[in-house]
Amino acid sequence: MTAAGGALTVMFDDAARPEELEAALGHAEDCGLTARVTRGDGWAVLAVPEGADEKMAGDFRGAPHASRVRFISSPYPLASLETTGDHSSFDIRGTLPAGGRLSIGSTAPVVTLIDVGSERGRDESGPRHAADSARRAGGAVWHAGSHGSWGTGASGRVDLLAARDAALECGVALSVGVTDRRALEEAHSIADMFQIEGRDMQNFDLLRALGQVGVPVVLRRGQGATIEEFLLAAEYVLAGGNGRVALCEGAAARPAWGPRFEINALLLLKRLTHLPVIADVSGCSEHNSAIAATACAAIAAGADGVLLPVAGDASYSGGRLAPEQCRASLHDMARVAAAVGRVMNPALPEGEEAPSPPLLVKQKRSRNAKREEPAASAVDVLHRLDGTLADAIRSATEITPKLEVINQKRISPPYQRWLTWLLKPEGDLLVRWTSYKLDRLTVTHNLSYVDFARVDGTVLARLQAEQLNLGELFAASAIDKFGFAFGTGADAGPLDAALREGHLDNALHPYVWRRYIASTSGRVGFLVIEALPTLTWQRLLASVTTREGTKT
Amino acid sequence: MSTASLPSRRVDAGFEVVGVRIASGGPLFVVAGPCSVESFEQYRAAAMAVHSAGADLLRGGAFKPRTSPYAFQGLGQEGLEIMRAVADELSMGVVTEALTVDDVPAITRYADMIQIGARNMANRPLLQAVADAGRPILLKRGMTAPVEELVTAAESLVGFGNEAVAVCERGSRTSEPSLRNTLDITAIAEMKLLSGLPVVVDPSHGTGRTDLVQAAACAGIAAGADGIMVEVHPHPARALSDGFQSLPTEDFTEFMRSVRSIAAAVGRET
Repeated sequence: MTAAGGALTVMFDDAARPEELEAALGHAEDCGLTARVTRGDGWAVLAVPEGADEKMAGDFRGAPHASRVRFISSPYPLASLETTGDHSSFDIRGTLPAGGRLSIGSTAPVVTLIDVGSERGRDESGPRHAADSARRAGGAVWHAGSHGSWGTGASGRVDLLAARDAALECGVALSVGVTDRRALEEAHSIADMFQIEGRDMQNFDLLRALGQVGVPVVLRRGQGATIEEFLLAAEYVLAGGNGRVALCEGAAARPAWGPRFEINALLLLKRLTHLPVIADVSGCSEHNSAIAATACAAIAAGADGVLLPVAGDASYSGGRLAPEQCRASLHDMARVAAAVGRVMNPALPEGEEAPSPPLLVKQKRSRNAKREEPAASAVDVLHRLDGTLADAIRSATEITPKLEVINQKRISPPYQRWLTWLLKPEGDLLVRWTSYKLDRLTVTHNLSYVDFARVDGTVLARLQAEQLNLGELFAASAIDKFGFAFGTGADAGPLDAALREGHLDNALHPYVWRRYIASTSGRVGFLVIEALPTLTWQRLLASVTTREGTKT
Repeated sequence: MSTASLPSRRVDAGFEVVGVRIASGGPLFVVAGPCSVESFEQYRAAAMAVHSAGADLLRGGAFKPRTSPYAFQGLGQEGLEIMRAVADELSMGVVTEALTVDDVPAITRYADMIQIGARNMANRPLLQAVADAGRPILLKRGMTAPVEELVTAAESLVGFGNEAVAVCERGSRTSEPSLRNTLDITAIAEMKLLSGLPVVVDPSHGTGRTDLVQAAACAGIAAGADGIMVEVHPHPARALSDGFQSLPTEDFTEFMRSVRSIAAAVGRET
């Protein structure tokens, strides 16, 4: 009989003994063919990549504990879902609390993996603190960072023994990134699982070495690698015999217009391979709420694990969740998991409620919600807003906006009449155009005038050096704000021309504005105009807590 | 310590399209129908199926922006008439795309909501014309547009005086050879955060593959999308456009069940 084409694959059930697998391998080799066996927990697969015929398939159908025999056309027969017909799972060996078992895969709960970092570098606060942050965040696995043997000192290396102790103490499993064979040997008896960075996805020497160990491997997709290349990399590890491989999608560097976490890759992987798939949502957004939302989406799409970025350091904001914030968002993930028939590991204690309103809450429709004139209501809210715009933006979005100085210059008299009327300047003025930005989105256009003659010299010097933000100045010191005025772009009059002079972009669509003059110790020295695009602010301001009265 | 807030926590009044409320944080809405109107029979079969499965609004293309000049370009005026007749029969609203300023008056007569497609996201004259038409607008994100540019385009629609705007994530270009587009799931949450507008997920273009559409829609809802726009065809294999990413009508009931269960899990009215 001639070769049937494609790879011959044989799935064995969990009763298959090592010597039976050896015998199956031996049979293929006796026929002059190359075969590979890989073992997970409760399953084993043999593949003969080429040359097998129907007779050999028949022989394997009769082999003990062979549950499924197929010819398949996939280039990665050991990883292919066609081979097994069902998704697989494996155990992560445990530094777990007594009785705890940690598995990953379709029959196991969705595993929470936590990457702890801070602006000052991963190891600043020590492994004990990081492992504890992972535990408080609700993690089952703590990723302690990448361990490479190319560096010296702390850089590029994990203090493996300290990490081991910390993980044990905190009751989390320990994940360590390895970059080469030597690092692998050092971490081999210590880590509960290995993580392979995307840049090492095609480090074939490392992949072969990983095939020889029984430690679970989380393999990340390399930047720009196709799904097929990714699965072929996994096949390298499987072909070495290690069936405990999970694939990790996410956090690739991409152009500004494309996703950094590709949900489609996750969807494809779940349809192509039986191996567990982890969604790494760290780095997918600067906005923590979008990171949590992406994790929910990944679970809805079938992820077997989520890797979440947690801040080990309170000073860190944007792109990493505080441990408590992460734990609160797990409630939302658990609800989504339940809708797709899954649970989370670790399970949150019964009755534990999110400490503050959960991320996704039941929406109640306001019966009185009426559409008002946008400008009118935005002006109204603006009128009642007591505080700086930065605070208002932060309270609405929980993002600290960035202040960008667009332009500033020193101007001398004569001034336009409206300006002299408001500010009564005696000499030169500093004029400054700034914008608050959320990422690249401009949310305000500000314009301020500072009177050289009436403002403290130190303050002025810092303003000129762009070291000082007027908003901070107003928030921090004893400044009296008065002479408030509000309006829409339509009634801005000369302010409109003044704004447009510095904000050269034509983004000043219908806007609302607030204008005030301010003084330090009774001397009027500042004139500030804030212009807010109506659409953005209509919605931002709707969620800002406003207080009656703006006069101080 | 602050808690991350998904923008869906904020509910605004939104707007209505033929009795269907479209609002950020509002009830889930589903816009379904074939990519193109091909004939009265084809459109009616698709519309009846999605209507009985619980879709809220109909979609359909009469003017089609096809990559190739030799591909089916849509039935034009006849397509509009077919959509209107079927929508009236079912008492549903219908959404269709305007390709050029010249199309806008006819579309305004026949459609309840006007779509600005991905290729026209930054087409200012078209944005102006559609905004002036006074119909609610569905603005799709360009396939290489950053989120901020979509928000700016939406701002300009509002600036032109039309506030009934929903934005739609429909996938970006990708280097993965087995995919047409790659759905930017994170952008859904970012679009809500930065614009506060209702956000729609288009899993059909977002994946370009029928077998991924349902799961992608579920992911979109879990990420906070307020609505779904999905292509459904009575005979995808015979479709004149986008058959490879259209759900067959017989799968649509299961699709609705599945997205509703996720919507319920994230606390949304369905």
